[in-house]
Amino acid sequence: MASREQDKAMNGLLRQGLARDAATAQDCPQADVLAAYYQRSLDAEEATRWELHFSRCARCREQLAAMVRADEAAEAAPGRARERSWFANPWMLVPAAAAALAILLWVQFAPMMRSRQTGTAEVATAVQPAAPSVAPAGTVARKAASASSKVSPALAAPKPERRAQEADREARNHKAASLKDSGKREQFSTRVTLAESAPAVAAPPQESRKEGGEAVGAARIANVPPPPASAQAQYAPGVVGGVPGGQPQRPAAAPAVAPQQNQIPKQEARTNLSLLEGQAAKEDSQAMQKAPAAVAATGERTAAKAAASRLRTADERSGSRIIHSPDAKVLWRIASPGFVELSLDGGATWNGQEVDPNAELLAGASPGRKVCWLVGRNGAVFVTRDARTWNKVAPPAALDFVRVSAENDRAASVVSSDGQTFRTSDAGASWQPAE
Amino acid sequence: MTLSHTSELLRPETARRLLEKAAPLKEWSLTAEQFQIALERSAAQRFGAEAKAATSAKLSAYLEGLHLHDLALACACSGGNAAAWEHFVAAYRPELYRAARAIAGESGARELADSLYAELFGLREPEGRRKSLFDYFHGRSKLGTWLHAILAQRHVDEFRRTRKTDSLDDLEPGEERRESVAPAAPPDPERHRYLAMLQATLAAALAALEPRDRLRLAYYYVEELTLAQIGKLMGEHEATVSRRLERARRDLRRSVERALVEKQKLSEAQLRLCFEYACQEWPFDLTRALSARE
Repeated sequence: MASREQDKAMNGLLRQGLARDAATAQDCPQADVLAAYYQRSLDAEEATRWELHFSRCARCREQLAAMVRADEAAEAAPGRARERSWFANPWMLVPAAAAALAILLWVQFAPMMRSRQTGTAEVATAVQPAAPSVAPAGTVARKAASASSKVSPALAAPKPERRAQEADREARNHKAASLKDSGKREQFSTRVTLAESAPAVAAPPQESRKEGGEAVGAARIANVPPPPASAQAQYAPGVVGGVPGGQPQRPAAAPAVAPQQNQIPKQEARTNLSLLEGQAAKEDSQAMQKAPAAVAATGERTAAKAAASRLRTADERSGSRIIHSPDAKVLWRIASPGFVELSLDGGATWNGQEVDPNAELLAGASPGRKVCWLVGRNGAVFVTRDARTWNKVAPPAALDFVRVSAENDRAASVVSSDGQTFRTSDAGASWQPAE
Repeated sequence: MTLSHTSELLRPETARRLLEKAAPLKEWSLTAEQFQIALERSAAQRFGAEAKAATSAKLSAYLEGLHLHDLALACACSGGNAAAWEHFVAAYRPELYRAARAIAGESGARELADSLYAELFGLREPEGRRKSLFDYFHGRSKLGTWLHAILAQRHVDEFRRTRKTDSLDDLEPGEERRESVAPAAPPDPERHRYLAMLQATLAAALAALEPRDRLRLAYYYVEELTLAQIGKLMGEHEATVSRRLERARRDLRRSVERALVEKQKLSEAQLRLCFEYACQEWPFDLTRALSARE
């Protein structure tokens, strides 16, 4: 028996074995202890004692899981100010502080470099140390926000809290890349929650690979319905409450976008993007014509381009890559590069799954309730047979695949961006060119 | 329970000092006596029967570490102060309903939040004293976190009480069904024995796990939390969570395989059969598979 099948068996056995945990109610802590544990304000001895209980009590674990999901859903709610400081997590500060430091150094040293070039002897003023604190990062975030505030509200750029999520995603992607070779990411994948899959978030590594005219790629996507009315698809805030026994999540009714809502035609969405890119280019041109003292606008341009890139991604995402299965209740949605979401209640609630953090998914097809094929750039082809575990399929070629159709978990056809079609009937073990 | 030992920390002047530190709004009209009762109740809840034996330093550290402002608000609300209640409503009602929506979904949120809201407001008992859920807040966490915990507890309890399964495995009539129970006449008469051995061995291995490892695995496999969420609950970075999950899973598998080979005297081929039979059971409910045999 292949090791992968043994792994699958082990995963299932673990799920069932741990789901049967039960504890008598009188052993469970009161709400104040649960809250103190969640907030990490119990002393070490007490925390250890309660963790022993939690490790064997499905009820308490469900409660803690509900709390952490509710927290993330609340943080992801549009317009809601974060209760906790964005800067509380030092991991989020690292990329933001690095960017802030680079901008500060450029601002400080650029005049000096120009004066050297003109032969003027100037003493460089002491460079202000980049404070790894709130202000620089907040400034970067505010610049990004202000740069994007000029665009259509429907395609508004991420707020500072979203940038925190982007930075978090970047840090995770770097981690994922470092673990990729060891194969560990194939073992444990980061499941995406609603907070992580906020519509306007784009992984910066993905951005770095984007080139001009990426929005054209959206035109090539022919396998998905038009995008919804808003790029900020309304995520249901109620995706919480792990279902015990390893069952999929109990559907929690919550406000959400139904797949058939009024939708911006794709052409209009691309037009919006074109306008945005044009605006960014115009700002770029205007900035170049300004006096050297305006070199600080470099940060603005960078932020505007980044915002444009994110919006492209947001539009591609809001291109509502909703993939319908034969069951009207079971829907898939490509949430962001490398991540998909599954709904078991017709789109009312969604649960995230990581397919491959380095993959840029473009289209999918679901021939069965538990079967889904995904394709994307650079030969990305994936399939799941249990609506949970994603298997990478060897592609016919390292092409950008923009469309897929499938009959079952073994037979599928993929279409590349240059119109080539390949078909497999053995789950990708072999491919044949098709007419 | 009122502590009777005469620690300096629970003297009236100590309660006044902590009340001053709590900085309640003047209009809450919270007295030092009321606050002292709340502090004593909190300490009694924490230390229980050992409260009298608690050292003064330990008790002092505990009291100083409380969320005193939130405790003062809860105390004033519990006492029926209108200004305190208005402050609570303005500061926490939106969050309460938002958390309820996040936990219970739109359909269940209002009922969940309304019932909690009413209990927080409290009922006046025949003796004239108001009994409020605020009496159970002891300042060990933020008031908002405590409210979240109550909502989560109630929602989970209600869900467990009226549990329904809604699974991809609930197949529509006529839909092709993958076998999820052992066949009536299994070709291998040892199948039942292999499954039973595997289940028992895994159960023993799980029981021997370190609590945090077990908790991490349960969060991942049963609650299906993300690595980041697990990290938040356990105070670890998600990379640490991933690494420790991998190690625990690997160690578990080795433990199971070793036990099956050494104690049950299975060959490598029989070991593979164990997993193969388990893999054939979807969704790996070995209990049901084993019961079907009986």
